[in-house]
Amino acid sequence: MSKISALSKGQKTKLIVLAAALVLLLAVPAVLDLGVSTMSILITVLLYMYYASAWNIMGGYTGLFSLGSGIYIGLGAYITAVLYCELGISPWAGILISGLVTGLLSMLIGYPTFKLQSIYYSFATFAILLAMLTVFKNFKTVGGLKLGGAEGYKIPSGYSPMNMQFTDKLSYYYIILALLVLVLLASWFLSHSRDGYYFRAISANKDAAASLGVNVIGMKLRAQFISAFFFAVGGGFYCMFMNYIDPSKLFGNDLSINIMVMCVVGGANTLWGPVVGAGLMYTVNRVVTIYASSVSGLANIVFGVVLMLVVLFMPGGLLPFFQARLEQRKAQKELKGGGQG
Amino acid sequence: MSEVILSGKGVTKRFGGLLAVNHVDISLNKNEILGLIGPNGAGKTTLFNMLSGTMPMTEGELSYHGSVIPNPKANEMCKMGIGRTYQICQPFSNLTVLENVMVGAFVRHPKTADARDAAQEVLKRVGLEKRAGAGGSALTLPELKRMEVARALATEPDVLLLDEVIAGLNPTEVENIMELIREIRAGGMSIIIIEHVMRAMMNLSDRIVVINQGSKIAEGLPAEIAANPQVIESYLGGGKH
Repeated sequence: MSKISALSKGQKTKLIVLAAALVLLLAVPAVLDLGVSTMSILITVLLYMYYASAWNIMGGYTGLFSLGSGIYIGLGAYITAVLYCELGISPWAGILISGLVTGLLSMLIGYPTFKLQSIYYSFATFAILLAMLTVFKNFKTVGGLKLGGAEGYKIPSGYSPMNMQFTDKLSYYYIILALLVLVLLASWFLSHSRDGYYFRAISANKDAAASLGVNVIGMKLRAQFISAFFFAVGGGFYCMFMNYIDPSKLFGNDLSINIMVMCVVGGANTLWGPVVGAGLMYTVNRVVTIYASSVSGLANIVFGVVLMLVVLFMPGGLLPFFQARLEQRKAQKELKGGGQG
Repeated sequence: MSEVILSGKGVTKRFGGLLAVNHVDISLNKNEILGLIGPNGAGKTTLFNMLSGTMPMTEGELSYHGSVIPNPKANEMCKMGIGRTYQICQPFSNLTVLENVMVGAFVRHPKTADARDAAQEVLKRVGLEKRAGAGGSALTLPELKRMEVARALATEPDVLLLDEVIAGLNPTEVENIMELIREIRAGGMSIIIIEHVMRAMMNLSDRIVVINQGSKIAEGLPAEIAANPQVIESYLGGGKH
């Protein structure tokens, strides 16, 4: 309690707004019957917000501009599915295991690629993503293990909470909402800890950071591990939600690029930027797809235009742009108030 | 004979065919201010980069408190107690001034609150406390130089390597920063300083090492260096002046 009373007025307001939003998010779908398709949309939006927030840890804070998020999402999905289907391991444990294994694998990818300058790191991650796509599309079995190749991996339904398989969408909604809260909490704690400051220092200037005692490679590995862990957990959730893995979706370039763009548009290197970006870009895409479905490819064009506008006029992303505006207005008000008094 | 705290033996850097630093021996005594001077392109900063572990040596050996550092790396040298600044200021533009300094403070204070307290202390010491909340890229040049020093000080080093913290400042600012450097030394630190402003160097340094074309050409007290014909020639270009 003493900690809460020590908060400033602004912080208290923020906490109240957050709590209210969370209550709304928890209560509305339970009270109102939103229907299957609306629930599916909500789950997808929350999943994108979750992915964009996971990307933010390495891409936003640490400046590791990865174009290969799908590598970890796909691996997480396949590991969770194989553990469940072949070994009967509950997906609840499966997503955790897949997170840890994928996190470790991401460090194998990271070690040789971190020495590359930023844009070449992006290329390297993109190349690995394409390689993964080819492998998972073309190998139907690996050492006796059925992966399904281009047809994808089908997960037989066995409705039971233990199997993370539910007949209603509401349960999936609560799971992804909990995951989103988790990744945001992790981001908040990170950004207020030594590691978070180190991540941002590395992103701005790695030589200066090293001279101040920062183990640059070690910290990058840590950031990549954390992001990959969350990606894999998300991938594991996604495959249980869909009962199916489509390798060309998870390892395809659309997903990875969308995640990066959502984070950058909303405001990389901020806590809420990825959430705002994912919400906006998904909505734009959805609206254009529904109302202008006759023009094929229009959604992509609009997506591109929104991205260009943000990059041109709000280089830090939407959230920092409006925050700066707000602060400016506040400062002007104070200046006026001071003049009168 | 005073205690040697940091020394380099036969320090050499080759960039392809170019010999940037050629077998330089250098040693810093405890609580000393050692000036490192030389014309543009003499290899001072390259030598500095090797002394701080920022750049690997082609040949040579570094010792700290009498023991050889096997594989000098910047972050480990910092943890040992060797701090440095950069000639071209390298602020973390995504962090505030206080946060910039906190990054340095974290080496000794892993908890955020402790690092913040330590950083605030250092900002007071260098006279930047009023700019704590400003963005790292919103500072003027003299402020930037102070922040560079503050970040290095926040790592609580024994040895401080200062790369041109005076150049580009006006006479008042030069006086202020020289005062700061003297205070830092009075606090017990040993300092190597690269500088172009000769008056400041003659004033500040206990001893001076002169580098020209990658090699050490002279070493001695400021008065000896000022009178050394070889130094005068390398700086002023023969007997024309």
